[in-house]
Amino acid sequence: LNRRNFLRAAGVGLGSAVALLFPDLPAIAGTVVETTRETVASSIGQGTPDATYAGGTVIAITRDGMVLSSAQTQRPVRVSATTGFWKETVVDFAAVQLGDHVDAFGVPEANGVLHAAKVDVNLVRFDGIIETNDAQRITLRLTRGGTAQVALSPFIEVVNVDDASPRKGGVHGLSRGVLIGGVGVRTADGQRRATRIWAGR
Amino acid sequence: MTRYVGSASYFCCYPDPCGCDEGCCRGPDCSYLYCDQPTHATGACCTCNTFNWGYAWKSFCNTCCDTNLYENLSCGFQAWIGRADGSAWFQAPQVDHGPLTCVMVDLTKPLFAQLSPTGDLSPGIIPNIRFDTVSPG
Repeated sequence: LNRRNFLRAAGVGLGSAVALLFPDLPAIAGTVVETTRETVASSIGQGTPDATYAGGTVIAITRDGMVLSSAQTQRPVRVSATTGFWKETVVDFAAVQLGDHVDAFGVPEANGVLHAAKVDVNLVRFDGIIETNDAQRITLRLTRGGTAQVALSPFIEVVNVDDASPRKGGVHGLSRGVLIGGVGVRTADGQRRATRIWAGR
Repeated sequence: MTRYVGSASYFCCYPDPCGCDEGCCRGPDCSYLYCDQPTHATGACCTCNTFNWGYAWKSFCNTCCDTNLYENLSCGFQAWIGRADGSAWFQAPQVDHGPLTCVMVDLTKPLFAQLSPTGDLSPGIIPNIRFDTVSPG
């Protein structure tokens, strides 16, 4: 199968795949949107979905998998003992909850299921210039406009942007006017909590 | 010729599709301002939305880049981005450059995750990334 035909086959098989993973969830299986896109010739560039990735909101969870829903489609994801999970820190599958946003990376199976190797849960990304920092919370003037509050996770790392080496002073070394980027977790109440911040020297 | 060695990070386009730096593409549908300029290309936030799966990845310029990298490259210019040790390379269209970055390239999320030492996005910033304008091979 070439890539296009593979994805066509995957789309046709998706409903049965969900039923296979989640036999107790017929309503969800019935709402699966088949993949009919044909602009999938390459995994690089614009408009090119990659079968090794699935992202979306968790709408169903069972013992060994979940279904992710996005505006485009719904896709079943299988997990196993080797699947790695991140949700603010390294966690296990039990930490994934309905309504979480998941980015899953792995190996596509012939039935359309993604067998996940790595899963990021509620990961958020931000860029901006520091306005205030009290070592508990940072106020950022976002690069894209507006301001945002970013709390600091107990797992926070602060690194230098050029080589990702630990930054001297940690969070205390982040002063007003410094341009930073970062990742973190979006909490249930919608707040950002930074787990890693990088900054210029 | 190696043009850049340093750190790279993904740029959050979706579900925040108009999050580009000042000077890139903006607007509620990411369809105007600089999107029609030949040096700003059609990628980055212009293509990141529910139905387009391109993601932009930027390499930081804060302290480590040669300003000669601020070239006017045509829309869709193909670049190579990969690990500095040459163990992984992906070709991708360059979509922008600017005061906060050396380059931005359109590379799918899974491919960028392959450059991550842990295979996922949670590290945020990835060191030891190389960007070339000619094939490393």
